[in-house]
Amino acid sequence: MQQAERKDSMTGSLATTTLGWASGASLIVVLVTGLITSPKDANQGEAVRLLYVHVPMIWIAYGSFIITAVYSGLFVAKAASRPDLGRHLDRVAGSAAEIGVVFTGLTLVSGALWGRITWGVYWQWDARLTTTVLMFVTYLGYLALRKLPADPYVRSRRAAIVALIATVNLPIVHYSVDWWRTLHQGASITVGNKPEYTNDILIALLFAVVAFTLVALWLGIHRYRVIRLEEIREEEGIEMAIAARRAEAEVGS
Amino acid sequence: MTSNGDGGELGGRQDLDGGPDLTPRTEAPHADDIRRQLRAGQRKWVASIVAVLIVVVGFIVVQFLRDATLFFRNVDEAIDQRDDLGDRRFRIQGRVIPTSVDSSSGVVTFELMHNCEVAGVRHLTDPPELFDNPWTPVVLEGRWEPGAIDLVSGEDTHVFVSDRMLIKHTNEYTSDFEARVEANLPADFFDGCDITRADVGLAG
Amino acid sequence: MNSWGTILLGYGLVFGTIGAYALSVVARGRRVGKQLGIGAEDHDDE
Repeated sequence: MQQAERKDSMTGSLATTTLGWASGASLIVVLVTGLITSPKDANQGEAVRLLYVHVPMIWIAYGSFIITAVYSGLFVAKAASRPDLGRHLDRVAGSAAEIGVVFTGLTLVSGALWGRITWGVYWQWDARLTTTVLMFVTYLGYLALRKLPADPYVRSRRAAIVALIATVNLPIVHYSVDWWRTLHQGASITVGNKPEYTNDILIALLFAVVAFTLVALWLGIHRYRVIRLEEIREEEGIEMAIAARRAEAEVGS
Repeated sequence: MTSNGDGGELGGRQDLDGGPDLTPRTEAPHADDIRRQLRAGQRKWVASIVAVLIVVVGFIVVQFLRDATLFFRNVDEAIDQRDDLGDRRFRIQGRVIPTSVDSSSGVVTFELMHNCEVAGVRHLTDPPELFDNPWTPVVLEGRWEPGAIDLVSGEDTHVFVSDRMLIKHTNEYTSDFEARVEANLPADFFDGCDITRADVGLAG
Repeated sequence: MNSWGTILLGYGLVFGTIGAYALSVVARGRRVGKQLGIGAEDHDDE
């Protein structure tokens, strides 16, 4: 039975299984701290509980897109001379981007719900919200580009260049609250400044960030392995089709 | 299904699916050609997804140029630009003076302060829940309308009539209910103003 | 206070989406793995 299960989990390993359990357990703790034990905010009341999902989502999205940018840059620099390394870099860039898109989507959804309680509206086209949705659509485009049928190297290179261009939007999203007037609040935690939180709220937030980061890491590793399997399948599929057509042609001649 | 078995057959072979059969008769097909054919089918739907994404991005950019670059005017700017604004609809931003809020007449009236300037507001719809927070910053959508009004800063000739209120809450999070007024109000909020803290019911 | 409904909806959507995404990734891995015959007795490794 255990043997069969191990065969079934194609993208798992002992390390990722452990990571999976750890992230699952920490998510349960986030539910408890976020919904039950953390205090009400003096201004926002219970609505502050959405902080513990909204903020980790966007931080992970930023982190994922930065990984995509770094690995895309390395791909452009190294893939031509080292094809195997190039495929590895491309897989990391692709899987990180997909996770970034999922977490940006969740940022938008959790933010809209939070906005409904605090601002009084789900959505406004202010600079932060507009640039965030632009970032979401841009990386959706990046993921679509990765599906575009082409020679794998050409496709990956094209995607890497688009990813590098898309990176320009990251600082714009982050600093939009400083550069323009926005309905969205400014950054609460910035390097070198005292956080604008009391400790009970800050600790719950930081724990949630750690927990969701573990989840994102688990997702990223599995997504990477799935991309690798899909590449093998694509190559095998093409080889088989070529063999079949050749056989057909030989019979016909 | 294509009949390939009869070596003596002459002329172009026809694929029963209707399309021409491009398979070379005498030599094995080139691997790249087959790759291209396998991928060609997927191109159409990917191209249509890309087209949809381009339309979406265009829409977002238009929204951004229209709305996001000047999301609101602060109270002092809205007063300065009153003649230019006329009866145009725009957004105004400031902090609600808690002692000025009056909802006894069915509509909510209050005074909005920013950069030492104060505007009188008549708000026609139900304010969001967080409106009750003292000194909360809000963004209102509406227009100037003529009408004499007595404000903490003196008399004014116009009232801002709004039908939409957004609470622009701060980035402070605190579980300390005692400290929330000071947390909401920047320390330098009254610096250089004719209005004093005592005028708006604050200690110190 | 109706904000609890919105808060729970938010948590539900975030946790639900992440869970569904995780399951889809694992399922996709299994499906492709099976197609490739990984772990199967008759896997022909050419």
